[in-house]
Amino acid sequence: MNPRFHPREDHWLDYAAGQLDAASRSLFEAHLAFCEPCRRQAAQYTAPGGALLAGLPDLPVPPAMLGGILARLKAPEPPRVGAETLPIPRSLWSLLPSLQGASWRGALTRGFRFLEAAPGLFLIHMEKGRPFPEHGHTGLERSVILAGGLKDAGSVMEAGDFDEADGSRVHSPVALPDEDCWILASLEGGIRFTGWRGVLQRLADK
Amino acid sequence: MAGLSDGGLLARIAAQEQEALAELFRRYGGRVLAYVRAMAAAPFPHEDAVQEIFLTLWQKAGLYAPQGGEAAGWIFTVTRHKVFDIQRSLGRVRESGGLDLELFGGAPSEVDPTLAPSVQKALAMLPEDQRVPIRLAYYGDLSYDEAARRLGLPAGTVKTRIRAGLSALRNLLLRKGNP
Repeated sequence: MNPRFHPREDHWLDYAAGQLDAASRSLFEAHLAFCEPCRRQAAQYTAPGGALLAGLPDLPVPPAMLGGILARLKAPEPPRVGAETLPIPRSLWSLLPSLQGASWRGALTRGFRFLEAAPGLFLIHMEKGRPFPEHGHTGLERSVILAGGLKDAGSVMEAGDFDEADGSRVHSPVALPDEDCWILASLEGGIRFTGWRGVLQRLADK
Repeated sequence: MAGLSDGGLLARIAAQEQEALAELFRRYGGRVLAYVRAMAAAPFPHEDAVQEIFLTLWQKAGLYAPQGGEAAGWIFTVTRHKVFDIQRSLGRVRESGGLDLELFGGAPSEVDPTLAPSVQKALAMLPEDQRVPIRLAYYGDLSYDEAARRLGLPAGTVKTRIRAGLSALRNLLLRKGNP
């Protein structure tokens, strides 16, 4: 089933032209992995580049270059944090950088945890049926559901669904009851908790 | 492998067939090097970038789906992303600007000798206010903001003109029977 929530169409131009930062690019690629209509839209913007590339002269490359590339090929591996292998669909493994040095924040016993997978790129894990505490953002937040689903402001979002929110939105998504929810999110700025967590955050920031 | 389409090769690469990557390199390695050299002014590690681009194609081939369009377009995009990543890692201010398509004007293509000139001819048919932003920030290595400063326009206008120009360019290329 195709996702129901998509990036704006013109963002595929930004993607094709390389105008996105690396974290946002990962989000768009995660959505593409699920969404055939968006792959077609993106192709509209990559095609003129492909036409140029295919017509460029075939310059000689150093003879050892191909061997050098082949020697560095590795089989894709599932993302791991410490000894834990994460249940991320295989088609998305290449989007997550090595997480060996990453550490979880929050705790699954309280319903959620997250880690910074790369600068500005966060992997969020919500236990099935549990909420992520009410929060806002200090900048643009983009997210894609990698597995499972959640309910957010009355909308149900499932694998592949894309969301974009500016800093004005305060929300408290809840994971759907039947499966843990894994989310990839890019944040410009940080998370701003409201309620009692906000009080703790402000104290911690002092 | 030689009889497979580019998309077929990417499907084999997604299935971890090294020979498919080798064949893709034989088809595109020299062209990717040509584009990287045209896009990123020296000093820049052009050949290292080509290696990184093919390693990325190996890792991400599973994200490519043939119904998503021509493989060359996807390779083009992966190439741009890698060049920008390397430029950022080097902390370099991008100054080279518009891709110099004239650089390739007289060069014959082994894939299709009419193709490169046809991109140029199609570009030449666009109005200047679309052609220049495309050369700067779609084929070249400038951000919308950098192109906007150079042209004295708002970044949103630059993007709007690129979008309209690419739509026209696509139609012109299709009319010529090219991808």
